[in-house]
Amino acid sequence: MKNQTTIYITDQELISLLQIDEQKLVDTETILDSNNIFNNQDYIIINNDGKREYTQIGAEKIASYLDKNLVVLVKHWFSKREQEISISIIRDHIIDNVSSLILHNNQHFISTLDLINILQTEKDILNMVVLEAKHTQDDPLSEEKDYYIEIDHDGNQEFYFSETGISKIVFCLKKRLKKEKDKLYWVKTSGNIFKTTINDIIEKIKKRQKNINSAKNKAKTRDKKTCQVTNVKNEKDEITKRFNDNKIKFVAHHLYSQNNYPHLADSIDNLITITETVHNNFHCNYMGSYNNPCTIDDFIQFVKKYYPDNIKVIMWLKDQKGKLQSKPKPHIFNQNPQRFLPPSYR
Amino acid sequence: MVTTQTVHYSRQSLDNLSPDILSKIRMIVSNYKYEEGVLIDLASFIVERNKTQKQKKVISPKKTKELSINQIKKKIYEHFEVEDTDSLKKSGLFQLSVSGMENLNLSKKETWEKLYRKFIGILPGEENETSYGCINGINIFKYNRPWQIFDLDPNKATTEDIKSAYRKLSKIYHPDIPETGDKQIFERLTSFYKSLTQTFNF
Repeated sequence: MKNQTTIYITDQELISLLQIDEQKLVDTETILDSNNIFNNQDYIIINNDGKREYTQIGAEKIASYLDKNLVVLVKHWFSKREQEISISIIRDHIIDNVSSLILHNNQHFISTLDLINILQTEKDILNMVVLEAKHTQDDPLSEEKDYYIEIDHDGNQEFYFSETGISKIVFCLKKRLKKEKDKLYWVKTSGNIFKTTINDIIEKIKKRQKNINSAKNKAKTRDKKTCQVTNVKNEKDEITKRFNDNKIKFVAHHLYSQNNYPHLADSIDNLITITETVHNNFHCNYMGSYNNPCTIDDFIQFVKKYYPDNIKVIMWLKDQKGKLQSKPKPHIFNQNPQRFLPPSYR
Repeated sequence: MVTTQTVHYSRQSLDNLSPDILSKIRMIVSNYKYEEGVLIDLASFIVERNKTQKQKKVISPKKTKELSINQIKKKIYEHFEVEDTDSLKKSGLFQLSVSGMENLNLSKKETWEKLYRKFIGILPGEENETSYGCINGINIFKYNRPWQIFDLDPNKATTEDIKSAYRKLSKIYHPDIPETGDKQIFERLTSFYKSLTQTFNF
Protein backbone atom coordinates (compact mmCIF):
# COMPACT_ATOMS: atom_id res chain seq x y z
CA MET A 1 0.00 0.00 0.00
CA LYS A 2 1.16 3.51 -0.85
CA ASN A 3 2.51 5.51 2.05
CA GLN A 4 1.24 9.08 1.63
CA THR A 5 4.45 10.65 2.89
CA THR A 6 6.81 8.56 0.78
CA ILE A 7 7.83 9.69 -2.69
CA TYR A 8 7.67 7.03 -5.42
CA ILE A 9 9.03 6.90 -8.95
CA THR A 10 6.95 5.10 -11.57
CA ASP A 11 8.55 2.43 -13.77
CA GLN A 12 8.19 4.72 -16.82
CA GLU A 13 9.89 7.61 -15.02
CA LEU A 14 12.69 5.27 -13.91
CA ILE A 15 13.16 3.94 -17.45
CA SER A 16 13.38 7.46 -18.79
CA LEU A 17 15.72 8.62 -16.01
CA LEU A 18 18.14 5.72 -16.37
CA GLN A 19 17.81 5.74 -20.18
CA ILE A 20 17.11 2.01 -20.42
CA ASP A 21 14.35 0.11 -22.18
CA GLU A 22 11.45 -1.62 -20.50
CA GLN A 23 12.95 -5.09 -20.97
CA LYS A 24 16.15 -4.02 -19.23
CA LEU A 25 14.15 -2.93 -16.21
CA VAL A 26 12.16 -6.16 -16.14
CA ASP A 27 15.40 -8.18 -16.39
CA THR A 28 17.01 -6.19 -13.59
CA GLU A 29 13.92 -6.57 -11.42
CA THR A 30 13.96 -10.34 -12.00
CA ILE A 31 17.59 -10.59 -10.93
CA LEU A 32 17.24 -8.32 -7.90
CA ASP A 33 13.86 -9.70 -6.79
CA SER A 34 15.42 -12.85 -5.39
CA ASN A 35 17.21 -11.23 -2.51
CA ASN A 36 17.88 -7.58 -3.10
CA ILE A 37 14.67 -5.62 -3.52
CA PHE A 38 11.59 -6.16 -1.44
CA ASN A 39 7.91 -5.36 -1.83
CA ASN A 40 6.60 -2.56 0.45
CA GLN A 41 10.12 -1.51 1.23
CA ASP A 42 11.84 -0.85 -2.06
CA TYR A 43 8.74 -0.76 -4.21
CA ILE A 44 4.97 -1.12 -4.16
CA ILE A 45 2.73 -2.94 -6.62
CA ILE A 46 0.07 -0.55 -7.88
CA ASN A 47 -2.17 -2.78 -10.01
CA ASN A 48 -3.07 -6.37 -10.80
CA ASP A 49 -0.57 -6.48 -13.67
CA GLY A 50 2.23 -6.16 -11.14
CA LYS A 51 3.10 -2.61 -12.19
CA ARG A 52 5.56 -1.15 -9.73
CA GLU A 53 6.51 2.20 -8.27
CA TYR A 54 9.86 2.51 -6.52
CA THR A 55 10.94 4.22 -3.34
CA GLN A 56 14.22 6.11 -3.41
CA ILE A 57 16.07 3.18 -1.84
CA GLY A 58 14.58 0.74 -4.35
CA ALA A 59 15.36 3.01 -7.31
CA GLU A 60 18.93 3.47 -6.08
CA LYS A 61 19.35 -0.32 -5.86
CA ILE A 62 18.20 -0.70 -9.48
CA ALA A 63 20.48 2.14 -10.61
CA SER A 64 23.43 0.81 -8.64
CA TYR A 65 23.05 -2.66 -10.18
CA LEU A 66 23.09 -1.15 -13.69
CA ASP A 67 25.86 1.39 -13.14
CA LYS A 68 26.97 2.93 -9.83
CA ASN A 69 27.27 6.34 -11.49
CA LEU A 70 23.51 6.36 -12.11
CA VAL A 71 22.75 6.54 -8.39
CA VAL A 72 23.41 10.27 -8.36
CA LEU A 73 20.72 10.74 -11.01
CA VAL A 74 18.21 8.96 -8.80
CA LYS A 75 19.18 11.03 -5.76
CA HIS A 76 18.78 14.21 -7.79
CA TRP A 77 15.40 13.09 -9.16
CA PHE A 78 14.01 12.40 -5.67
CA SER A 79 15.33 15.65 -4.25
CA LYS A 80 13.78 17.60 -7.14
CA ARG A 81 10.45 15.81 -6.75
CA GLU A 82 10.49 16.46 -3.00
CA GLN A 83 11.02 20.15 -3.71
CA GLU A 84 8.21 20.20 -6.28
CA ILE A 85 5.85 18.58 -3.81
CA SER A 86 6.68 21.05 -1.05
CA ILE A 87 6.22 23.98 -3.43
CA SER A 88 2.86 22.58 -4.46
CA ILE A 89 1.84 22.31 -0.78
CA ILE A 90 2.81 25.95 -0.20
CA ARG A 91 1.00 27.02 -3.39
CA ASP A 92 -2.20 25.29 -2.20
CA HIS A 93 -1.78 27.00 1.14
CA ILE A 94 -1.58 30.41 -0.57
CA ILE A 95 -4.67 29.64 -2.68
CA ASP A 96 -6.60 28.71 0.47
CA ASN A 97 -5.59 31.95 2.17
CA VAL A 98 -6.15 34.77 -0.27
CA SER A 99 -9.88 35.21 0.18
CA SER A 100 -9.22 38.90 0.90
CA LEU A 101 -7.50 39.49 -2.46
CA ILE A 102 -8.52 42.91 -3.64
CA LEU A 103 -7.60 45.31 -6.41
CA HIS A 104 -6.77 48.78 -5.11
CA ASN A 105 -5.12 51.51 -7.20
CA ASN A 106 -4.21 48.93 -9.84
CA GLN A 107 -2.34 46.81 -7.32
CA HIS A 108 -3.36 43.59 -5.62
CA PHE A 109 -3.55 43.58 -1.85
CA ILE A 110 -4.35 40.96 0.78
CA SER A 111 -5.41 41.38 4.40
CA THR A 112 -3.09 41.08 7.38
CA LEU A 113 -4.86 37.92 8.51
CA ASP A 114 -4.32 36.24 5.16
CA LEU A 115 -0.68 37.32 5.18
CA ILE A 116 -0.17 35.85 8.65
CA ASN A 117 -1.69 32.57 7.49
CA ILE A 118 0.30 32.46 4.26
CA LEU A 119 3.62 33.07 5.99
CA GLN A 120 2.60 30.78 8.89
CA THR A 121 3.66 33.35 11.39
CA GLU A 122 2.00 35.09 14.33
CA LYS A 123 0.49 38.53 14.82
CA ASP A 124 3.22 39.62 17.25
CA ILE A 125 5.98 38.53 14.93
CA LEU A 126 4.36 40.21 11.94
CA ASN A 127 4.01 43.36 14.03
CA MET A 128 7.72 43.35 14.77
CA VAL A 129 8.67 42.60 11.20
CA VAL A 130 6.42 45.36 9.83
CA LEU A 131 7.97 47.84 12.28
CA GLU A 132 11.39 46.72 11.10
CA ALA A 133 10.35 47.25 7.47
CA LYS A 134 9.08 50.70 8.42
CA HIS A 135 12.24 51.70 10.31
CA THR A 136 14.73 50.84 7.61
CA GLN A 137 16.71 53.58 5.85
CA ASP A 138 16.43 51.98 2.43
CA ASP A 139 12.97 51.96 0.91
CA PRO A 140 10.82 51.56 4.06
CA LEU A 141 7.13 50.60 3.87
CA SER A 142 5.09 53.30 2.15
CA GLU A 143 1.39 53.89 2.52
CA GLU A 144 -0.65 53.20 -0.62
CA LYS A 145 2.31 51.60 -2.37
CA ASP A 146 3.05 48.82 0.11
CA TYR A 147 -0.08 48.88 2.25
CA TYR A 148 -3.38 50.62 2.60
CA ILE A 149 -5.87 50.85 5.39
CA GLU A 150 -9.54 49.92 5.25
CA ILE A 151 -11.76 51.16 8.05
CA ASP A 152 -14.78 49.03 8.92
CA HIS A 153 -18.19 50.13 10.23
CA ASP A 154 -16.94 50.13 13.84
CA GLY A 155 -13.98 52.33 12.96
CA ASN A 156 -11.45 49.49 13.22
CA GLN A 157 -8.47 49.67 10.91
CA GLU A 158 -7.57 46.75 8.72
CA PHE A 159 -4.24 46.72 6.95
CA TYR A 160 -3.92 45.32 3.44
CA PHE A 161 -0.50 44.59 1.96
CA SER A 162 0.49 44.82 -1.69
CA GLU A 163 2.94 42.58 -3.52
CA THR A 164 5.79 45.03 -2.91
CA GLY A 165 4.75 45.33 0.74
CA ILE A 166 4.76 41.54 1.06
CA SER A 167 8.21 41.33 -0.55
CA LYS A 168 9.58 43.81 2.02
CA ILE A 169 8.04 41.80 4.85
CA VAL A 170 9.45 38.56 3.42
CA PHE A 171 12.95 40.07 3.30
CA CYS A 172 12.74 41.16 6.95
CA LEU A 173 11.24 37.85 8.04
CA LYS A 174 14.00 35.95 6.23
CA LYS A 175 16.63 37.77 8.28
CA ARG A 176 14.77 36.97 11.48
CA LEU A 177 14.41 33.27 10.63
CA LYS A 178 18.00 32.64 9.60
CA LYS A 179 18.43 29.88 12.18
CA GLU A 180 15.01 28.26 11.75
CA LYS A 181 15.59 26.28 8.57
CA ASP A 182 12.08 24.92 7.99
CA LYS A 183 10.31 28.22 8.66
CA LEU A 184 12.86 30.06 6.52
CA TYR A 185 12.22 27.66 3.63
CA TRP A 186 8.46 28.20 3.95
CA VAL A 187 8.73 32.01 4.01
CA LYS A 188 11.26 32.09 1.16
CA THR A 189 9.19 29.78 -1.01
CA SER A 190 5.97 31.65 -0.22
CA GLY A 191 7.63 34.85 -1.36
CA ASN A 192 8.97 33.17 -4.46
CA ILE A 193 5.70 31.70 -5.65
CA PHE A 194 3.28 34.33 -4.37
CA LYS A 195 3.11 36.42 -7.53
CA THR A 196 2.68 33.53 -9.96
CA THR A 197 0.01 32.00 -7.71
CA ILE A 198 -1.87 35.30 -7.49
CA ASN A 199 -1.60 35.73 -11.26
CA ASP A 200 -3.13 32.26 -11.73
CA ILE A 201 -5.98 33.15 -9.38
CA ILE A 202 -6.62 36.41 -11.21
CA GLU A 203 -6.69 34.58 -14.53
CA LYS A 204 -9.20 32.18 -13.02
CA ILE A 205 -11.32 35.06 -11.76
CA LYS A 206 -11.34 36.68 -15.19
CA LYS A 207 -12.19 33.38 -16.85
CA ARG A 208 -14.95 32.84 -14.34
CA GLN A 209 -16.43 36.26 -15.14
CA LYS A 210 -16.33 35.32 -18.82
CA ASN A 211 -18.19 32.08 -18.02
CA ILE A 212 -20.78 33.98 -15.99
CA ASN A 213 -21.41 36.40 -18.85
CA SER A 214 -21.71 33.53 -21.27
CA ALA A 215 -24.23 31.74 -18.99
CA LYS A 216 -26.23 34.97 -18.71
CA ASN A 217 -26.46 35.25 -22.50
CA LYS A 218 -27.51 31.61 -22.76
CA ALA A 219 -30.21 32.14 -20.13
CA LYS A 220 -31.61 35.11 -22.05
CA THR A 221 -31.75 33.04 -25.25
CA ARG A 222 -33.38 30.14 -23.39
CA ASP A 223 -36.02 32.53 -22.03
CA LYS A 224 -36.54 34.05 -25.52
CA LYS A 225 -35.66 37.49 -24.18
CA THR A 226 -38.89 37.57 -22.25
CA CYS A 227 -39.27 38.54 -18.62
CA GLN A 228 -40.24 35.30 -16.91
CA VAL A 229 -42.03 37.15 -14.13
CA THR A 230 -44.03 39.78 -16.02
CA ASN A 231 -44.06 38.03 -19.44
CA VAL A 232 -43.01 41.35 -20.98
CA LYS A 233 -41.25 40.88 -24.29
CA ASN A 234 -39.02 43.31 -26.06
CA GLU A 235 -41.63 46.03 -25.91
CA LYS A 236 -41.86 48.93 -23.52
CA ASP A 237 -43.06 47.90 -20.10
CA GLU A 238 -45.48 50.13 -18.25
CA ILE A 239 -43.06 51.70 -15.81
CA THR A 240 -40.30 52.24 -18.34
CA LYS A 241 -42.81 53.64 -20.79
CA ARG A 242 -44.06 56.16 -18.28
CA PHE A 243 -40.60 57.59 -17.64
CA ASN A 244 -38.79 57.31 -20.92
CA ASP A 245 -38.91 55.81 -24.35
CA ASN A 246 -35.91 53.57 -24.01
CA LYS A 247 -36.11 49.93 -24.87
CA ILE A 248 -36.72 47.57 -22.00
CA LYS A 249 -33.57 46.25 -20.49
CA PHE A 250 -33.47 42.56 -19.65
CA VAL A 251 -31.12 41.10 -17.11
CA ALA A 252 -30.21 37.56 -16.15
CA HIS A 253 -30.83 37.36 -12.42
CA HIS A 254 -28.85 34.98 -10.18
CA LEU A 255 -31.39 33.04 -8.13
CA TYR A 256 -28.65 32.22 -5.63
CA SER A 257 -26.51 35.36 -5.45
CA GLN A 258 -23.25 35.03 -7.29
CA ASN A 259 -20.98 36.30 -4.54
CA ASN A 260 -22.38 34.07 -1.84
CA TYR A 261 -22.93 30.99 -3.97
CA PRO A 262 -19.91 31.21 -6.28
CA HIS A 263 -20.17 27.55 -7.32
CA LEU A 264 -23.56 28.30 -8.96
CA ALA A 265 -22.55 31.62 -10.51
CA ASP A 266 -21.95 30.31 -14.03
CA SER A 267 -24.77 27.76 -14.06
CA ILE A 268 -27.59 28.53 -16.48
CA ASP A 269 -29.98 26.76 -14.06
CA ASN A 270 -29.28 29.51 -11.54
CA LEU A 271 -30.32 32.27 -13.95
CA ILE A 272 -33.67 33.70 -14.92
CA THR A 273 -34.43 36.49 -17.38
CA ILE A 274 -36.35 39.43 -15.92
CA THR A 275 -36.66 43.12 -16.70
CA GLU A 276 -34.29 45.52 -15.06
CA THR A 277 -37.28 47.07 -13.25
CA VAL A 278 -38.28 43.77 -11.67
CA HIS A 279 -34.63 43.14 -10.83
CA ASN A 280 -34.32 46.48 -9.04
CA ASN A 281 -37.60 45.95 -7.23
CA PHE A 282 -36.47 42.57 -6.01
CA HIS A 283 -32.99 43.60 -4.84
CA CYS A 284 -33.58 47.16 -3.68
CA ASN A 285 -37.11 47.07 -2.36
CA TYR A 286 -37.76 43.45 -1.44
CA MET A 287 -34.25 42.41 -0.31
CA GLY A 288 -33.20 45.83 0.93
CA SER A 289 -30.03 46.17 -1.12
CA TYR A 290 -28.01 44.62 -3.91
CA ASN A 291 -25.45 43.74 -1.26
CA ASN A 292 -27.79 41.46 0.66
CA PRO A 293 -27.36 37.82 -0.34
CA CYS A 294 -30.42 36.19 -1.87
CA THR A 295 -31.59 32.64 -2.53
CA ILE A 296 -34.16 31.09 -4.84
CA ASP A 297 -36.58 30.97 -1.89
CA ASP A 298 -36.44 34.77 -1.60
CA PHE A 299 -37.27 35.07 -5.27
CA ILE A 300 -40.16 32.57 -5.01
CA GLN A 301 -41.62 34.56 -2.11
CA PHE A 302 -41.17 37.80 -4.06
CA VAL A 303 -43.03 36.39 -7.09
CA LYS A 304 -45.77 34.94 -4.87
CA LYS A 305 -46.24 38.31 -3.22
CA TYR A 306 -46.19 40.61 -6.24
CA TYR A 307 -47.05 38.34 -9.17
CA PRO A 308 -49.24 35.64 -7.58
CA ASP A 309 -50.96 34.84 -10.88
CA ASN A 310 -47.76 33.65 -12.52
CA ILE A 311 -48.09 30.02 -11.44
CA LYS A 312 -45.89 28.94 -14.35
CA VAL A 313 -42.82 30.74 -13.13
CA ILE A 314 -43.38 29.60 -9.55
CA MET A 315 -43.50 25.98 -10.74
CA TRP A 316 -40.39 26.53 -12.84
CA LEU A 317 -38.55 28.09 -9.92
CA LYS A 318 -39.40 25.12 -7.72
CA ASP A 319 -37.98 22.76 -10.36
CA GLN A 320 -34.81 24.86 -10.55
CA LYS A 321 -34.51 24.74 -6.78
CA GLY A 322 -34.46 20.94 -6.93
CA LYS A 323 -31.82 20.97 -9.66
CA LEU A 324 -29.61 23.51 -7.92
CA GLN A 325 -29.78 21.87 -4.52
CA SER A 326 -28.47 18.63 -5.96
CA LYS A 327 -25.27 20.39 -7.09
CA PRO A 328 -22.62 19.74 -4.49
CA LYS A 329 -21.16 22.80 -2.89
CA PRO A 330 -17.40 23.13 -3.17
CA HIS A 331 -15.60 21.91 -0.08
CA ILE A 332 -13.99 25.27 0.45
CA PHE A 333 -17.36 26.98 0.47
CA ASN A 334 -18.52 24.92 3.44
CA GLN A 335 -15.28 25.54 5.24
CA ASN A 336 -14.70 29.22 4.83
CA PRO A 337 -16.66 31.64 2.67
CA GLN A 338 -14.23 32.81 0.03
CA ARG A 339 -14.31 36.19 -1.60
CA PHE A 340 -13.95 34.42 -4.94
CA LEU A 341 -14.47 37.67 -6.73
CA PRO A 342 -12.74 40.68 -5.27
CA PRO A 343 -15.24 43.57 -5.03
CA SER A 344 -13.14 45.49 -7.49
CA TYR A 345 -13.90 42.86 -10.11
CA ARG A 346 -17.61 42.68 -9.42
CA MET B 1 22.29 86.66 18.17
CA VAL B 2 18.78 87.68 17.30
CA THR B 3 18.38 90.73 15.09
CA THR B 4 15.34 92.89 15.19
CA GLN B 5 16.44 95.21 12.42
CA THR B 6 14.77 94.69 9.04
CA VAL B 7 17.19 94.43 6.15
CA HIS B 8 15.98 94.57 2.57
CA TYR B 9 18.05 92.25 0.43
CA SER B 10 18.55 92.92 -3.23
CA ARG B 11 16.82 90.94 -5.98
CA GLN B 12 20.27 90.15 -7.34
CA SER B 13 21.22 88.48 -4.05
CA LEU B 14 18.23 86.22 -4.34
CA ASP B 15 19.01 85.30 -7.93
CA ASN B 16 22.49 84.16 -6.92
CA LEU B 17 21.13 81.48 -4.62
CA SER B 18 20.00 77.97 -5.47
CA PRO B 19 16.69 76.63 -4.05
CA ASP B 20 18.73 74.36 -1.81
CA ILE B 21 20.51 77.29 -0.15
CA LEU B 22 17.24 79.18 0.12
CA SER B 23 15.66 76.19 1.86
CA LYS B 24 18.51 76.10 4.34
CA ILE B 25 18.11 79.82 5.00
CA ARG B 26 14.38 79.37 5.62
CA MET B 27 15.16 76.59 8.04
CA ILE B 28 17.65 78.75 9.96
CA VAL B 29 15.19 81.64 10.01
CA SER B 30 12.49 79.35 11.33
CA ASN B 31 14.71 77.75 13.97
CA TYR B 32 16.76 80.72 15.20
CA LYS B 33 14.65 83.72 14.23
CA TYR B 34 17.48 85.35 12.27
CA GLU B 35 16.61 88.05 9.82
CA GLU B 36 16.08 86.44 6.42
CA GLY B 37 17.42 89.40 4.41
CA VAL B 38 20.76 89.40 6.25
CA LEU B 39 21.23 85.68 5.64
CA ILE B 40 20.34 86.00 1.97
CA ASP B 41 22.85 88.84 1.49
CA LEU B 42 25.53 86.94 3.38
CA ALA B 43 24.92 83.75 1.40
CA SER B 44 24.94 85.70 -1.83
CA PHE B 45 28.26 87.30 -0.87
CA ILE B 46 29.80 83.88 -0.15
CA VAL B 47 28.49 82.39 -3.38
CA GLU B 48 29.85 85.33 -5.38
CA ARG B 49 33.25 85.12 -3.67
CA ASN B 50 33.46 81.37 -4.32
CA LYS B 51 32.68 81.95 -7.97
CA THR B 52 35.48 84.52 -8.26
CA GLN B 53 37.92 82.26 -6.43
CA LYS B 54 37.03 79.35 -8.66
CA GLN B 55 37.69 81.46 -11.71
CA LYS B 56 41.12 82.40 -10.33
CA LYS B 57 42.16 78.97 -9.30
CA VAL B 58 40.96 76.02 -11.33
CA ILE B 59 40.56 73.17 -8.95
CA SER B 60 39.62 69.84 -10.43
CA PRO B 61 36.60 68.63 -8.45
CA LYS B 62 36.91 65.32 -6.69
CA LYS B 63 34.88 62.99 -8.84
CA THR B 64 33.15 60.06 -7.18
CA LYS B 65 33.74 56.96 -9.17
CA GLU B 66 30.52 55.71 -10.71
CA LEU B 67 29.68 52.03 -10.47
CA SER B 68 29.90 50.05 -13.66
CA ILE B 69 26.79 48.22 -14.84
CA ASN B 70 28.40 44.92 -13.83
CA GLN B 71 29.10 46.18 -10.33
CA ILE B 72 25.49 47.30 -10.02
CA LYS B 73 24.22 43.97 -11.37
CA LYS B 74 26.40 42.07 -8.91
CA LYS B 75 24.82 43.90 -5.98
CA ILE B 76 21.31 43.18 -7.25
CA TYR B 77 22.13 39.50 -7.82
CA GLU B 78 23.43 39.26 -4.24
CA HIS B 79 20.31 40.92 -2.88
CA PHE B 80 18.02 38.43 -4.61
CA GLU B 81 20.42 35.49 -4.11
CA VAL B 82 20.74 34.73 -7.83
CA GLU B 83 23.64 34.12 -10.19
CA ASP B 84 22.77 36.07 -13.30
CA THR B 85 20.14 38.14 -15.08
CA ASP B 86 18.25 35.11 -16.36
CA SER B 87 17.79 33.69 -12.88
CA LEU B 88 16.93 37.18 -11.60
CA LYS B 89 14.10 37.43 -14.13
CA LYS B 90 12.87 34.01 -13.01
CA SER B 91 13.14 34.82 -9.29
CA GLY B 92 9.64 35.01 -7.83
CA LEU B 93 10.83 37.32 -5.07
CA PHE B 94 12.29 39.71 -7.66
CA GLN B 95 9.01 39.68 -9.60
CA LEU B 96 7.14 40.35 -6.37
CA SER B 97 9.48 43.18 -5.39
CA VAL B 98 9.24 45.00 -8.71
CA SER B 99 5.45 44.80 -8.96
CA GLY B 100 4.19 48.08 -10.27
CA MET B 101 7.57 49.09 -11.73
CA GLU B 102 6.54 49.22 -15.33
CA ASN B 103 8.73 48.76 -18.41
CA LEU B 104 11.75 47.26 -16.69
CA ASN B 105 14.22 47.06 -19.54
CA LEU B 106 17.13 45.11 -18.10
CA SER B 107 19.30 45.85 -21.10
CA LYS B 108 19.61 49.48 -20.01
CA LYS B 109 21.95 50.76 -17.32
CA GLU B 110 19.37 53.24 -16.07
CA THR B 111 17.03 50.36 -15.19
CA TRP B 112 19.77 48.72 -13.12
CA GLU B 113 20.46 52.06 -11.45
CA LYS B 114 16.79 52.33 -10.61
CA LEU B 115 16.90 48.85 -9.05
CA TYR B 116 20.07 49.75 -7.15
CA ARG B 117 18.44 52.86 -5.69
CA LYS B 118 15.41 50.83 -4.63
CA PHE B 119 17.02 47.70 -3.24
CA ILE B 120 20.62 48.51 -2.37
CA GLY B 121 21.01 52.15 -1.40
CA ILE B 122 22.48 55.39 -2.64
CA LEU B 123 24.41 55.17 -5.87
CA PRO B 124 27.97 56.47 -5.55
CA GLY B 125 27.94 60.01 -6.87
CA GLU B 126 24.38 60.66 -5.75
CA GLU B 127 25.16 61.11 -2.06
CA ASN B 128 25.18 64.85 -1.75
CA GLU B 129 23.07 66.11 -4.57
CA THR B 130 21.85 69.67 -4.55
CA SER B 131 19.66 69.81 -7.64
CA TYR B 132 15.90 70.33 -7.67
CA GLY B 133 14.09 67.94 -5.35
CA CYS B 134 17.13 67.33 -3.15
CA ILE B 135 16.74 67.57 0.58
CA ASN B 136 19.57 66.64 2.91
CA GLY B 137 21.56 65.58 -0.12
CA ILE B 138 18.95 63.12 -1.37
CA ASN B 139 16.77 63.45 -4.41
CA ILE B 140 13.34 62.77 -2.96
CA PHE B 141 11.90 61.75 -6.32
CA LYS B 142 14.56 59.16 -7.03
CA TYR B 143 14.78 57.67 -3.56
CA ASN B 144 12.40 56.45 -0.90
CA ARG B 145 14.60 57.41 2.08
CA PRO B 146 12.26 59.44 4.29
CA TRP B 147 14.32 59.02 7.46
CA GLN B 148 17.35 60.58 5.83
CA ILE B 149 15.28 63.27 4.15
CA PHE B 150 13.72 64.16 7.51
CA ASP B 151 17.21 64.01 9.04
CA LEU B 152 16.10 61.46 11.62
CA ASP B 153 17.54 58.29 13.07
CA PRO B 154 14.94 55.56 12.35
CA ASN B 155 15.85 53.71 15.52
CA LYS B 156 15.58 56.68 17.84
CA ALA B 157 13.12 59.15 16.33
CA THR B 158 9.81 59.62 18.15
CA THR B 159 6.51 60.58 16.52
CA GLU B 160 7.10 64.10 17.86
CA ASP B 161 10.49 64.22 16.13
CA ILE B 162 8.86 63.17 12.85
CA LYS B 163 6.14 65.79 13.25
CA SER B 164 8.67 68.48 14.05
CA ALA B 165 10.88 67.57 11.06
CA TYR B 166 7.84 67.59 8.79
CA ARG B 167 6.75 70.96 10.14
CA LYS B 168 10.20 72.43 9.50
CA LEU B 169 10.23 71.20 5.92
CA SER B 170 6.64 72.31 5.41
CA LYS B 171 7.67 75.85 6.31
CA ILE B 172 9.94 75.75 3.29
CA TYR B 173 8.07 73.64 0.78
CA HIS B 174 4.39 74.26 1.49
CA PRO B 175 2.92 75.53 -1.79
CA ASP B 176 1.72 78.70 -0.04
CA ILE B 177 5.27 79.74 0.87
CA PRO B 178 6.52 82.25 -1.66
CA GLU B 179 9.86 81.62 -3.36
CA THR B 180 10.53 78.15 -1.87
CA GLY B 181 7.08 76.54 -1.86
CA ASP B 182 6.70 73.56 -4.21
CA LYS B 183 3.56 71.43 -4.59
CA GLN B 184 5.31 68.30 -5.87
CA ILE B 185 7.96 68.30 -3.16
CA PHE B 186 5.39 69.01 -0.48
CA GLU B 187 3.16 66.15 -1.63
CA ARG B 188 6.08 63.75 -1.55
CA LEU B 189 7.05 64.96 1.94
CA THR B 190 3.48 64.53 3.12
CA SER B 191 3.40 61.00 1.82
CA PHE B 192 6.70 60.29 3.67
CA TYR B 193 5.23 61.81 6.80
CA LYS B 194 2.11 59.65 6.63
CA SER B 195 4.15 56.47 6.26
CA LEU B 196 6.58 57.36 9.04
CA THR B 197 3.85 58.20 11.54
CA GLN B 198 1.73 55.14 10.74
CA THR B 199 1.27 52.85 13.70
CA PHE B 200 0.76 49.16 13.13
CA ASN B 201 -1.10 47.06 15.62
CA PHE B 202 -2.50 43.83 14.31
